Amino acid sequence: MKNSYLLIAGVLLLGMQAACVKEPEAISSQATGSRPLLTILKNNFSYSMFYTALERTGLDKTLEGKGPFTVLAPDNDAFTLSGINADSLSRIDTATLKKIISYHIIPASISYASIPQTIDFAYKSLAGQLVYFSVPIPGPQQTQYVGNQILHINGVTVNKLDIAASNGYIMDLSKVLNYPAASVKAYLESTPQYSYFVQALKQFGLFNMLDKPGPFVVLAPTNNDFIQNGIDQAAIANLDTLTYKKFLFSADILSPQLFFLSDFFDAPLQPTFPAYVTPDVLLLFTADRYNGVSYGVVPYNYIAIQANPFPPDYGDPYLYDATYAPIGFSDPDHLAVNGVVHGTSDLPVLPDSAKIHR
Amino acid sequence: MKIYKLSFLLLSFMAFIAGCKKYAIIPSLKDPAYIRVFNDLNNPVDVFHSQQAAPFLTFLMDPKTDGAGIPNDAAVIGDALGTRQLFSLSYPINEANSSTGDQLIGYVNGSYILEPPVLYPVNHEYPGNAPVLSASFINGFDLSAWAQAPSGKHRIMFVVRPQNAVGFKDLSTAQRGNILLDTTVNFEKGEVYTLEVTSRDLDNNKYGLYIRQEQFIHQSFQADKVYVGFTNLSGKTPIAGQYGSGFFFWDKININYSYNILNDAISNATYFSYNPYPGYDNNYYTTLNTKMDTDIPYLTLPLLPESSFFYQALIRTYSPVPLSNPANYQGSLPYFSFVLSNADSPVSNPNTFPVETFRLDCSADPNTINNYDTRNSSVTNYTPNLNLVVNTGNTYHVYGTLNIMEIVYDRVYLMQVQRGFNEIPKN
Repeated sequence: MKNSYLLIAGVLLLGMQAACVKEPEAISSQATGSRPLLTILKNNFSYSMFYTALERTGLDKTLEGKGPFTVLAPDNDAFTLSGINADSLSRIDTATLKKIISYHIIPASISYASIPQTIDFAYKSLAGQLVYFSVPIPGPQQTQYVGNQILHINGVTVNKLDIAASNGYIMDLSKVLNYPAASVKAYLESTPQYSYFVQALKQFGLFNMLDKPGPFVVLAPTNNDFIQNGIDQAAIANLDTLTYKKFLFSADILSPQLFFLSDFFDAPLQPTFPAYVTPDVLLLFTADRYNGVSYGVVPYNYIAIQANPFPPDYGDPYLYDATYAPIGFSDPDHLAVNGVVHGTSDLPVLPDSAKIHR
Repeated sequence: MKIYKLSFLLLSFMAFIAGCKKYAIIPSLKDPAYIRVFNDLNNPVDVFHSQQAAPFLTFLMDPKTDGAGIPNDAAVIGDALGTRQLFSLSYPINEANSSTGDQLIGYVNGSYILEPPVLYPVNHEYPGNAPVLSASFINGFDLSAWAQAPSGKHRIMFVVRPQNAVGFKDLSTAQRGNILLDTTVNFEKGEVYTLEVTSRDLDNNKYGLYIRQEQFIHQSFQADKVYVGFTNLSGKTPIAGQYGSGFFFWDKININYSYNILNDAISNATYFSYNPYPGYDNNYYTTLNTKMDTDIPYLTLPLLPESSFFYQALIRTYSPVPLSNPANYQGSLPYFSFVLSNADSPVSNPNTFPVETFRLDCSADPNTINNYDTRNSSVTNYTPNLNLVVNTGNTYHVYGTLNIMEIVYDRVYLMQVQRGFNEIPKN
């Protein structure tokens, strides 16, 4: 009897407390881990290359501070995937390395839940340059399971989120971030595989604008793409700008735009209009999880062409490239201060298909 | 024994004081105005339009801001404001229902499927099911879907928020800082206001707040009539409307109307035929030349005798929207239909692309129309029947309604305002 009084009272107390409406958990930007960032990085072998780089550049001293910091830490596999081994890492001069590594540190505490639900939300890195965070936007076309916490930073997938330290967070990257080039113009000029493309842009008066604020997305065919289609530097020099429609090369420059290829999955295009509008043509994009992103240049009336299986186009709106099919990306996601360069795997518009017939 | 009794009493007392805080009674407002808020945005953000506002908002009235001007609290917070539903009534239809787990029916690959549920709370309007003081009957209309608000000047803010279950005040500063609209409005006492977040130019990320001071509370309406008004709340047609396969309403819209009565004599289970009600066969009503109009003229339509809504003493049926089987079966209730067409391109063939006409059949069941996915079904071609069938006194009665049709880009939202539930209709 005595016990049952106690039992009833106890159950009553528990029951009434449990009945309370709980407040939802707040999104705290304050890191909750017990160990400092540097200790986590130092004690975890998979970050040994990143830690070595921190030590060499003296940025370990910075991370010892109160912070808070968010460290975008590529693990050793990420270095390997980016073509950097211990030896080549040691050969990068310290000033350059410091720039690169400080680009991986954001002087703020950023947990996954605190990131705005959008693509390419910019945070300022310790190096001063912007770092772009993309999270999937829920919607009818979203094919990634949004319940999985997915984060892309400059188009690089984050392996592990929210490793909490006492003075910030670590986001484990699957690749090393490229330090942004001074401009897309500077990137194209300094990358040998785009020398034909640069020559063509110069010839058509499109190159000099690429150091303006933009932002620009440049879909850049490589020299190899030109050569495969039988176009060499002499042939480019012979292209008379008055004889070709403007979109021969202007369709390679999208502005104002800034996106990485992973953004096609985080913010999918609508089936009613999967295209980008340029002044002369549309760029029709397709993105699927198995074949990645591809695109092709199509005329404005592409829907009518697709609906007509008869000659002259047999339902194929990709009228301008060599294969009459969308082309892929061979070397995407090269960030510059004023945009992104995506290397393509073919010429989207052959000069002959853009010739003005008089 | 005593000590056990004492401890029982003590523990009971502790349980009592540890019990939940009860809802405080909301103090009544002196001289209130009445507000209702809709989110008309419906554009999914894609990779080329990442600067656009995702259609998921928080409505703030009289916000408090931090030093950087970022809101962190407000006198009124209407959180998780998703895109409005196609059909809304003048009283909160989702009151007391779960506002989570919205699961829509879509027509995918030739069959109807239940789409994946939405796993976070969505409110389709403010106040919706929020526990607030609401308006009562004004001018014979049940307006309990409008919340009371203190009259006078208010700062109104809309913030684009993440689509998840975290409350506004608990969002991070970066998330709360995505302010879509920030404006000041003046509410006059006793007036009824409908506020709608609209897009003015999607391609250039321009948005605006449309405020309509409802005039229907000052106008007189006949009990035996049905009233319909149209307004075009679309912004500039996005470039996708020019080259894509999506449908967008035109800048200038012609509206024709018909009243359709099932021909019982020749209709059977597989064949249906409708005759126009005499004098209501594809009549021209008006042309909407302007957008964002707040003054809504009403088309007056007849409310038929109650016998027209019964067949062999049984109430007639709604259209099985959008599953039309047999094809074009619109149910057996009398229904209005509207044909909206491009006023700038009057010669039209409904089978050509781009589409120049849009048929709106007011034949659907008001109880189910919001269950259909607007993207994956033909539901946008329907509204509920404008003759409102209501069970009063254990019998079906048919009431006239006041209807505001709001055209927003690719669809028509119907706000139906109801009248006269307190008396048996005389039709």
